[in-house]
Amino acid sequence: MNRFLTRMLRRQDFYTGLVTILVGAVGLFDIAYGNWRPGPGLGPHAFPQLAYIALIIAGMAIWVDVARGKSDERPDYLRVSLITGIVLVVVGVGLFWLISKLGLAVSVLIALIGASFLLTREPLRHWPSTILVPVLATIVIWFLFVRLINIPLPRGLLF
Amino acid sequence: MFMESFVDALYLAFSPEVILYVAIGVLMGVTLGAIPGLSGDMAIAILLPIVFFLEPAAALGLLTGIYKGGMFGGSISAISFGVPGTPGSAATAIDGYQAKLKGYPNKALNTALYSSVIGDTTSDFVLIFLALPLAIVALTFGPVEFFALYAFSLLLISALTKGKVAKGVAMAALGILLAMIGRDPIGGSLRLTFGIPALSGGLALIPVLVGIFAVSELIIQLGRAWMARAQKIADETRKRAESLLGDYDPAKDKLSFAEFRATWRATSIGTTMGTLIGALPGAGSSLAAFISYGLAQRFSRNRDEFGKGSLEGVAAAEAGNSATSGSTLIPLFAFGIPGSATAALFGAAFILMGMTPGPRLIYDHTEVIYALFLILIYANLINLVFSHFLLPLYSKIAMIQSRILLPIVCVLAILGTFAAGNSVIDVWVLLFAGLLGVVLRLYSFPLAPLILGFIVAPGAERALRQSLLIGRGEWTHLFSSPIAIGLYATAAIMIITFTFVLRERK
Repeated sequence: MNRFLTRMLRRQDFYTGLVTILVGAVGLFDIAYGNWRPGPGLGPHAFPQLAYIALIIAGMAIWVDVARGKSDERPDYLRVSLITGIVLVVVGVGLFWLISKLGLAVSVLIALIGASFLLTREPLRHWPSTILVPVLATIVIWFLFVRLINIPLPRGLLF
Repeated sequence: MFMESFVDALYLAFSPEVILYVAIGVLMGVTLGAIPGLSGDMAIAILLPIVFFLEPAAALGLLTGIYKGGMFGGSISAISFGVPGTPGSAATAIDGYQAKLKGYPNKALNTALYSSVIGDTTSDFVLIFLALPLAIVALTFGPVEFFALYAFSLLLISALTKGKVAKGVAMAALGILLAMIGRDPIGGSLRLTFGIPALSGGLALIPVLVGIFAVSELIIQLGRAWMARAQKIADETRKRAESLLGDYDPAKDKLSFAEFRATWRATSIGTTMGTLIGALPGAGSSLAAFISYGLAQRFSRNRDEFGKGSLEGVAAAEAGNSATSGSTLIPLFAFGIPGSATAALFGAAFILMGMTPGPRLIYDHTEVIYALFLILIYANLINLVFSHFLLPLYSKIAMIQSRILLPIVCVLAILGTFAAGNSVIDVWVLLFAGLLGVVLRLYSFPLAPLILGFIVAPGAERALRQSLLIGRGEWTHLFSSPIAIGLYATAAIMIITFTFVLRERK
């Protein structure tokens, strides 16, 4: 029994199932004790309730798979992917701030050249892909969004 | 009436502007499909906010072109480097890359092209001839039948996607919960907004779709590129590909008609299986390609050649993969239910253009839909002609490293999402949906059930609540219709059958 539990705890999907069950349980708790207004027929809580129940059942089914020895491996690149995601959120927000200061074209060019330099070894040696491609892409993006679609972005100092 | 609509559709489909957009789409699709890490689906997702500003026929032409081009583009890197450009071309890589190693990449690429176009065109005709009769049947449906249909789709897509039933169900449930954010459509009360006023209108379709599908994949690819591993792998692939070309004799590498005719049976098997499997929600092109490959091997006179560079293997896999493209749109046109990720993207495009997917779509927008049918067919011809002449160039395109394009695609996603709704909240939703998608991808959760859950949840909730109001709260009312019972039974039979098929495949 102890060995079985230890083996379960070592499997990646044990925790995946646990999180799935917890999300479902917290949701059901919220429906039972939270501020949900009644509505006609089943009420607004019924469909979310079904979804939470499905989550709990799915989590348990994941545990059954784990007990039968079926589990996905620990993901590669988890940390680097999450850091990249968070950086992208910051860059996305920063891009809008920068557009309001410098304008679309300059902001996009800075973002693209910056990203290309970060992603390329010896970026100056690979200048066609780290400088030329971003410049061309910026021209296309500017033409597409400013001239064709004319999206109402905040006006910057430049263009 | 029919002739009038058809003539209008002809004008729409064959206007120079639309033909140009289809051609641009095919070139974009092949390019992005050929570069490992990017895909036609990703391009469709990124361009969704932009097509909003085009005329419907032009927009659908561009998306169709990308879709068709992307389908074939995936096989270019699969054959040239053994790296599938898209999941659907994984089966093509088995024999395609072996053919390349044996010194006949051109034969393999041409076989893939012809079988892909044959499979795709057949599947499009099945869509054209089946969508209308099914839509007529769907017009007789009431809330009980529609709820059964939504449940049928959710069950199938959860059970069949990658064969991970539990994780599929969890994703469908999560998609439903994301769709519940905002106002209750019947009572009007707020749900799951966590006290954030900006969420009271619910989550918009575009940022959720683009975030989950495209931004999450972009983040993972950017992370890998940042670690410089992707660059190293790509360099090695390029060196290996160049070294293989040392003793290459192009004169001996031309596909003869006899060789093409020898793949005919495999192409037919792939076309049939791909068309059938593509019509099922959740089954997907990858499954269709592998099942077609397995069946073609079983019925081949040269089954021992499979896995060693067999052109029949390439033909079966590629026809199976591409034959899903038309039939996967059948549930969307007939019932308003997207059966795959691509169908969900097309559904989103319809919604953006003010057309509601479902049985009334063909009646309410007859000209545009007939034009789309025509575009689906001639986009295959454009793909065939372009690819036939540009194959040598396409193989070089597959060597482009995705890191060069990733930042550009990211900027396009962010600006495009903002442009579609003029809302910074949408950009936030896009980025957080991207982060959610990253976590789900890395922990091997299938994303298609999430998107289907998100799209069908409002309709399913309405159908369930209306059914129970009509049935005075009795749950047994959900089983009061023979059609509904038939759908539940079919779902159960299909899940059991496919569970056995998938087990056998393993």
